[in-house]
Amino acid sequence: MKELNVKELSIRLKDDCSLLVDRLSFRVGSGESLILLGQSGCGKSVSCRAVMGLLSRRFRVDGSICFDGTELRGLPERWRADYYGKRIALVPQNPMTALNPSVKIGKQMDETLRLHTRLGKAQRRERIEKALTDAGLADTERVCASRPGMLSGGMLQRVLIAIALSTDAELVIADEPTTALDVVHRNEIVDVFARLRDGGAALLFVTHDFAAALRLGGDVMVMREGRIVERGSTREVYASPRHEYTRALVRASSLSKGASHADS
Amino acid sequence: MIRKTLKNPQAIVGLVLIIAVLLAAALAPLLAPHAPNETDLTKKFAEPCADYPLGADELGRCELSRLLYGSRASMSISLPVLLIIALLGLVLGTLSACGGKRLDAVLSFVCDTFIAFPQLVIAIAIIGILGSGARSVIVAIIVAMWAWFARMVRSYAMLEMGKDYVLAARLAGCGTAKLIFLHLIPNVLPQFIVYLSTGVASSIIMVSGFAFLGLGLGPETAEWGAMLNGARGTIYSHPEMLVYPGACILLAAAGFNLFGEALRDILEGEA
Amino acid sequence: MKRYISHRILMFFLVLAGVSVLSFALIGLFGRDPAEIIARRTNINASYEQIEAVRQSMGLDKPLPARYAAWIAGLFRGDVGISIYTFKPVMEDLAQCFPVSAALVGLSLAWVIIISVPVSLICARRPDGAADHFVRVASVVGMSFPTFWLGFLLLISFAVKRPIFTVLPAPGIKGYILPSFALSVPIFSGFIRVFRASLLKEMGSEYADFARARGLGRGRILTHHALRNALPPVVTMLCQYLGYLFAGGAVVENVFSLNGLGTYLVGCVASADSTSVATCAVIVAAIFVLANLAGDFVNRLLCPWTVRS
Repeated sequence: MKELNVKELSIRLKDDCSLLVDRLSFRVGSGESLILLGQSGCGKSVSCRAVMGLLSRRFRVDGSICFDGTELRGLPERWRADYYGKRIALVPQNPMTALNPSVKIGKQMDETLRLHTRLGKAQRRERIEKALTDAGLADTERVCASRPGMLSGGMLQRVLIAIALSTDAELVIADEPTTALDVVHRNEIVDVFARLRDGGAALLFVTHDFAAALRLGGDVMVMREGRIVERGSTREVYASPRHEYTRALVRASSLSKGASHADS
Repeated sequence: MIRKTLKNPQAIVGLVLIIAVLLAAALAPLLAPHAPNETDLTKKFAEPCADYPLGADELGRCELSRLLYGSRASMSISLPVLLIIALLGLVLGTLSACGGKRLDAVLSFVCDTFIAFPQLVIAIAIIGILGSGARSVIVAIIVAMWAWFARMVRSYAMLEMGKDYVLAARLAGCGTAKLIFLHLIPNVLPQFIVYLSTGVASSIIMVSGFAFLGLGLGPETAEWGAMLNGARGTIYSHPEMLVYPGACILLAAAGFNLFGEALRDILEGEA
Repeated sequence: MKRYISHRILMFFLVLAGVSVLSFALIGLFGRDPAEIIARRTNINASYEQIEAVRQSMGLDKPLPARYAAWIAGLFRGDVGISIYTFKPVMEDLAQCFPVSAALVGLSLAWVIIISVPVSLICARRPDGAADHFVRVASVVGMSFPTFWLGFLLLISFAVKRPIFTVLPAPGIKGYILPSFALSVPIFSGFIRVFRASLLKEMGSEYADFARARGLGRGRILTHHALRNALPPVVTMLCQYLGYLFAGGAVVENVFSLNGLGTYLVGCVASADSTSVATCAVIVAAIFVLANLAGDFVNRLLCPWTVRS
């Protein structure tokens, strides 16, 4: 079983040594999902970026980030492409700025596939179309021929998911994929991620939205100021939150409960 | 910000060069072994010696003394030019940005015209109108360069005008004049200092370029550009006489550019 | 969009009109009497009557506005008359010195592109590396070079010490290699600074991060993603220089004894020759404004989404 195993991950800013993430440990294996829940600024995104190896030299990272037996921290440049984009996929936070505005979406998707697979042109095309359809985009022809600025935020979010789908990644890290969306689209997107997990991928899902977490299910970690304050299965944590901060999050989300549970 | 500047090695090198040039200009009469125009035909193209540290030129004038006095000529033109241009640019630029659409259109048009107009023509004509001398060179460079500064200030001021704090100040009942002096100018100032510093550099090069073409300052003046022009006749026999004055221009301009660009890096790193 | 285009075209003609009026006004204030300059050329002790005769024959007795009107009419006919500076038709003079300037400017910009693009890419590939640090300081020093002095240094090293080139201009493209290089040094130095900063800004953007997350290497992101998006500020700068250099090359022309537009302009102003000055100034200004327009246009083609936002 392929799994991501993070042990004692601490992240500091080098400038003033402020601690952003404090000894974070978790594991998530194939077919499982783990939700990282917390407010903005609590260290969720920076943890994701650390796992993806995207932090600049301004940050100091300690601890271990292990995927399928390989230490990802300090992975040499020439091995990067064997993991990132191929076996580990990121669905980034802001769909509007995550793609190059001057390159057509089809080309950017094809670029990823060409790097990671040995497929021919027609096969790659087929894969891209299938991935876009699986992510819930019907008019694949038009999407491929568009530049990012021509599509809506919801469509772009699906494109980003399709990129993750297209390479059959074993681990998908989703950094607030539902934040830019309205409730209806959010539920659809969460369902795409649920299917992805049920298809055998490991999923690390970062969100500040308890409703999205409930819809996805699986395990949850609640993070506050760089620390995990509570963890457990999503339903249990929601039903009987132990930590005061989790209770506040639950209360806040139950205000919009009606909307998020209407169709579940 | 000042502390960051003092920690930046590039800014320090720039500052040292600037101070060196300013000192040379201020203390030229004390430092120079000879008067700049003291000719001694027996010393024509003398080899460097204790009395003539860099040798002598085609009229037997001490090269080092002329170079020292050259910094005086260069600074006494470039610094007043930049002071006046700075004021002119700040006033016209902010006026253009805050003084209403019609004024902005007129000022922008005048700026565009002056920017599109060949600078050299302005300079020659103005030096022709006012006669030779340092003062007319100052006016010529101001007329040739003011529009670039005004446009730069305007574009930064426009950027600032779009920010929320200006709206907030307006809503709080802040008048236009107060807005300009209390909010706009302080916020544009850091970028403006960068421009000023690099502007002094281009002005130094411009002054010597004019002198090289024989505009404004006569060939006998101890000025770097004029000295280059004087030495070009001996390019085969004494090429070193062409090297010294140019090196001075380069060092002086590089000082202001290094400082200005270091400041820009610091400013942009903070933003 | 339509309004934007019509506004730009209107400004184009307004600026040209402004430039021509300004040149007549400047020469009018100049204080030198063109008739006297002409008369003294043939006879150094020209009498008052001789000067007046020249004045009448050249039409210089008319007031400045009338001469301006005559010049405008001539401009539309394609014949603005005779240059006081050279005594030849202005258009003939221009046909001679314009190609010189065009070659100088064209070759300079070629140097700029050949040098600044690879150097900027190398810097942006490893920011804060040894090469980057060196280039950052070297480019500031390069910006500070007076072009005429650089011209002399090049002449001393490549024409006097090692006679690869000649001090007097050689026919053909060879005569332009040194002058265009001298002219281009401060420009490509400034270029490298702008281009490098622009590339690094793109490399720090979210799409570059996501490209890294997709497994792409820094080199590929730089050439396939950041490069194109980093071009607009550089294109704007290139076009500004294209217009600026036509008349701004006078000092370098002087060093290398080239008879380009800059040198011609200097001579015309000194002869108080308002028609030639105005003609040259309008041409230079037209090139300047058109080059800026072209830069705008190219940027819109390169990055069409910037128009949208």
